[in-house]
Amino acid sequence: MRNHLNVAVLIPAHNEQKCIEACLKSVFDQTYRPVQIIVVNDASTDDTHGVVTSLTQAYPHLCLIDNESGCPLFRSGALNIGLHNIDPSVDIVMALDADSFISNDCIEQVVKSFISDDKLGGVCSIAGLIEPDLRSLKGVKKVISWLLWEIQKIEYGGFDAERTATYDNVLILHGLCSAFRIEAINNTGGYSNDQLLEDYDLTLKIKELGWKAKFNPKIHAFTKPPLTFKGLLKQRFRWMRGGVDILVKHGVNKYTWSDFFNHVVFIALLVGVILIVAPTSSKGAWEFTLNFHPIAIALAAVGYLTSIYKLKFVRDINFADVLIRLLIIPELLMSIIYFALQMSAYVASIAKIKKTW
Amino acid sequence: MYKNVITTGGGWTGAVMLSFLAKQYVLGVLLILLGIIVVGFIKLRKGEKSLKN
Repeated sequence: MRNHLNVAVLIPAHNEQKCIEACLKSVFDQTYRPVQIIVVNDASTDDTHGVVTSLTQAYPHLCLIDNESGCPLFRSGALNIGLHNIDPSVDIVMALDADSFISNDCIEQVVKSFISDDKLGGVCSIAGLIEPDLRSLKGVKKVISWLLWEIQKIEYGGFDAERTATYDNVLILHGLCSAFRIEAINNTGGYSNDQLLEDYDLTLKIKELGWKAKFNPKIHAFTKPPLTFKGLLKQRFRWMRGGVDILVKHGVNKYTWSDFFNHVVFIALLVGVILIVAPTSSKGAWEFTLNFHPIAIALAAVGYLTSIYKLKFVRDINFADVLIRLLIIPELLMSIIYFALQMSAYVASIAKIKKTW
Repeated sequence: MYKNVITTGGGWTGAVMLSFLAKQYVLGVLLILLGIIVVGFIKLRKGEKSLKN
């Protein structure tokens, strides 16, 4: 088994002039140097091209490819361009978001993962959030941004908990920072251009070819969360709609059944809520009396305790994070919004409403 | 994502729902939900132990 693998880093970028330098510097500072770094400038209208070009002189292994068509190819299209330009000596491809950065031993940990398991097709990182600077905001806007930041911080801890639980068979090798064996990604034909969640689609294609998809908590990557309601809802709708579309595309198989099962439970819960809310006046149909059934109490208690346990996965946890989780209400309100988004995602997918990235 | 929704928000929604509507259908769904949360927690602990080694 080889103990040295050549790594290429692919970074799709669309209007990322403010973030891409920090992202690239985190790649340059790696303890294990990539042989190639490809930035695909996807029809940016800002100075992404200029920022990257200024760095190519100091870092000759940095390569900039411009999509000058004026029409963005989106993440999947840009990544496919990068894949077509990979050096033949490359063994591992790492895809990274341009508004993120990675810890300085990130690639070293990626390589260790692939060396220790020759059936490994892809590995993903912990997803940390970059703390925003809210000092320039004032009043209600500042409070809302702070609350959204706190809720997402706790939520991302939950995502890492979920990845820990499924570490040897993750649901999604996420787009923030995942690495792939070149043989595996080439066999899939690359990223699908017609999917909102191209990372979920690629993960399933890799698994369906017999490769493993794992999580390595020693790989650290950080990204910026959306701090407006509009931005957050747009992102989450894309995730939810994208998730439904992927399941429709791949159908029920041994890699998708558990996700299908979660959707069935979700819909069953939804029907229950509708039955409560709907005005059912027919006698004896449903009883609207408060009764503390032991299962309700057990569900609330177990759900509450496990959610408190999952706080240990929240990075840089503080008093506010703990308080928000203990108080339940903020996260419950977000869940109600997510319930509504999930329903609209089903409708959009069934009605085949045009996808927007 | 959906799993977070059904285990965190869904857990509470389900508990409240059952408090108002103790019917067999709801009992069945919520027992499954309780199972998902418990199995998820067991898998989480197993994952933590495996990743430590």
